[in-house]
Amino acid sequence: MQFPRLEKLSFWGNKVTSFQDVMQCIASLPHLKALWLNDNPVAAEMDDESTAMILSVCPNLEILNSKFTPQYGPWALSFTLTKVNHHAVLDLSDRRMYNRITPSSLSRASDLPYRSSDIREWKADVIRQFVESHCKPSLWGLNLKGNPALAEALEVSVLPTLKVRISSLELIAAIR
Amino acid sequence: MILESIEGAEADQEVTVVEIENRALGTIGIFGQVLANMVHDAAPGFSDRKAHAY
Repeated sequence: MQFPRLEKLSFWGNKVTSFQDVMQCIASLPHLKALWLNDNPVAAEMDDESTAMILSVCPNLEILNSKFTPQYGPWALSFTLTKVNHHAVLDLSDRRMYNRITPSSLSRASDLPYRSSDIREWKADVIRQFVESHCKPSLWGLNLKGNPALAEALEVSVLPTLKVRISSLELIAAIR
Repeated sequence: MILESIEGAEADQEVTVVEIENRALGTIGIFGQVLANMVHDAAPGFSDRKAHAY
């Protein structure tokens, strides 16, 4: 049985213990964009190296256990967007958004489309483009809890240049 | 399309989402044998449910 177009796979809340088991499972799913192993014993043992190993076989993976991988882009950001009465709320809290990734992670996932020095600006552009495309006419709320480096980068390089109305900038300061 | 069971199915070119949650699965190694639960092709549940922070 094969699922050549499978993008989202969730085993949330099971009793999976073997990382090798996971790797065997995803080996035939090169187009996977999201994998949820939350609330499984194996998830507690996963680290940056595990993420890099998974990315080596699933290079398009943007979400792993509800955290964003270094590959995250508009597809993953869309999971965090809520619209209420035409006002957009972007909840990026606790997504462990990579504004920088470690050299060891880069060496494992050597085909990442950027170098470590490029990551900050590249991700800022991704977020700016997403907000401008999906959060019109206004960005009512932006939750960056748990992403202090990203919050800093956004304040410096993204928020002042957005072409959408920012309605609650105070939310950022309140949660940092 | 939502399939309650795809056990024994042939390769499915259309399935984009597989969700097997809270089933006490201890192993997922034999991938084809555990995909006997819920399969969605457009994942409406993922965006609608807020119980998890997907």
